[in-house]
Amino acid sequence: MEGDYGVGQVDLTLFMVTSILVTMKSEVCSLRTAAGLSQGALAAALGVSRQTINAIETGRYDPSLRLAAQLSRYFEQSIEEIFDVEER
Amino acid sequence: MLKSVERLPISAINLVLVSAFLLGAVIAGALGRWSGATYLGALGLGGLAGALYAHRSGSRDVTRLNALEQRDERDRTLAKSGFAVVGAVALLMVLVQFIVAITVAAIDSPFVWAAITQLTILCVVWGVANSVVVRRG
Repeated sequence: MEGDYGVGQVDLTLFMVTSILVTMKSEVCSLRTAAGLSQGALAAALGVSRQTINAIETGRYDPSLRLAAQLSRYFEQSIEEIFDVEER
Repeated sequence: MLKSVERLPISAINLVLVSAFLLGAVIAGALGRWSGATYLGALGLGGLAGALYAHRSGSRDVTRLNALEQRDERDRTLAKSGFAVVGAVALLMVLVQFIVAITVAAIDSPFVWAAITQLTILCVVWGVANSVVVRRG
């Protein structure tokens, strides 16, 4: 029916609104610094690029659950302790 | 699909592309088409050099994306976004080409049939791709 939104349309709208209003804050930078690691060293330990670590630390990239779990295991902290979803 | 194979110095897709160019160069050479063989050989070797350059440990992310040498999940996510833009632009261009072809050329001209074929293939690929990604969740 005209004017109705499909499920896909609603999902896309919700995703866009969520992307704008919600940001992921992480403790990766402070944990890495405390461990005396460079971004490159942490990246090598996790099998990702240095740019990925930089993007996570600066909030430009939200890691997958798999990578978040890898970070959690590496720093021996829970995912909730490392990542915090906050509304803008 | 574009994941680097651990023991290979370049990604699997680059291995296929470089092999195809070099194989084409060999076949063109065997057929005596030396200019074609030289052109394909240069493309193959240039592609190999670019892939090796992008695959090195200190390479920039944009270099890796341009050379199809994705290293991790962020590279793959960024590459998907880039390819999505390419796909959207391709669809738009083919749609414009189709409208222009129908408007200015005779309906049975090769120009019109090429436009119809390209538009049909892109729309089918789009539909199939949507079905696959929805099923994969």
